[in-house]
Amino acid sequence: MNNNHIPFNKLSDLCDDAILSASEKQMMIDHIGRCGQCAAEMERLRSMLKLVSRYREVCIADPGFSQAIMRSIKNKNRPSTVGFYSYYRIAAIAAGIVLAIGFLLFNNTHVTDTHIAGNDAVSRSVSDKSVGTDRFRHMASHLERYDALIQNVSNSHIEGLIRLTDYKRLVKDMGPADSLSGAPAHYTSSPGPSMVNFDSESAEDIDFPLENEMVRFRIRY
Amino acid sequence: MTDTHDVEIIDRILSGDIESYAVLIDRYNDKVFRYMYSRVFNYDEARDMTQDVFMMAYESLALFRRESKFYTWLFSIAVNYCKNYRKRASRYNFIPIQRSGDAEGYEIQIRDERQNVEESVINSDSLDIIKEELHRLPDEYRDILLLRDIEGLSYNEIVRILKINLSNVKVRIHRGRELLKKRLEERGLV
Repeated sequence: MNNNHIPFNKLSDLCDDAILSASEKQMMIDHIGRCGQCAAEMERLRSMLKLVSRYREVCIADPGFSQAIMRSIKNKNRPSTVGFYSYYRIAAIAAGIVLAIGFLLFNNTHVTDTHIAGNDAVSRSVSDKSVGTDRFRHMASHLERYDALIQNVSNSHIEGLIRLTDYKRLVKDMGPADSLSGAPAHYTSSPGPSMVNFDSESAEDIDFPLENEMVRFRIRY
Repeated sequence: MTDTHDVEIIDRILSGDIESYAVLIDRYNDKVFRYMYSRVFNYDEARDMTQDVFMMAYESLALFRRESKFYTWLFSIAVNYCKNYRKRASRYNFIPIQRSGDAEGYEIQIRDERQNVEESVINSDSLDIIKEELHRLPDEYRDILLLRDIEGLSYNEIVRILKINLSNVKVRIHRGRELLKKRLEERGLV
């Protein structure tokens, strides 16, 4: 204590109960009781601290504050940070698939029309039904090569007329990979044009009585 | 040591109950806001800064080691945020000036104190004076008075938050109080 007065830092410590030892604290309290100057200084300090505590009145005063933060957190946490790009990826893939299908359909229709020029039925059918698969295109090009007359194209079958010999060659050309599995083949010769329902693995098994006879065929594709 | 209730909430948040974080925000937003406001003396800016601190705390919540109270940890984030904030943005506005007669021209940056002039008008309300005088204090004193005399943190908690030793904390508290008392005396409040 300089000049018999308590220095400011000790008065400041006195405001914080836990800082001073009990004996030191008591000594200072005794001094303040006797010294008007130190008592006034202590009073001003306490008054200042009380005033400063008014700063606790400063607050956000916004009941929606926490919710605003929570919204930001959720937006940030949403799978969107990662998923944002995922959604775009999914959309891009979907768009790619749609474009690919569109291109394929357009291409198939176009090719089929070209390959089977003259076969109006199939051209019309293909265009109308938007039938178009690799298998169909492959099949149709072979049928055209053997002068088959395609009369009808459904979503699953091609029907028409073809010479028996050509039909046998056609099946050989297409090979076992292109053979159309399913029920065994059968042949009917009467009445009128015969009908071959070709669903067999092997065309050689079929016994055709009249090689040059026009037969009706139906091929699943 | 850590406030048990806060820890329970933190556990809930970390296990996926994100909504529980709103409880911690509501509990401590004013404390953090006061700290920010004393720094920038601007409501909107302090509010945004407070929001940033809570966002940062949320993102780092898994790193909270529970060796201290949650709000001590939160204040550490706030203090660090302010240090970096100062580096990022100057508090002053600058007006570009072009020197006449200079073909190239160049800009002289001068401090635009118009806002400060507005804010420095003496208010009759003691709270406004306290806000102003706190804001005028050097950072090292203001921070420590805010933590000790306003938020009531212990000396050890302040040591932890400000990362300075105990004797330094004591010295700053004494000097800060003395300076603030002097200024408030000059304003006729003490």
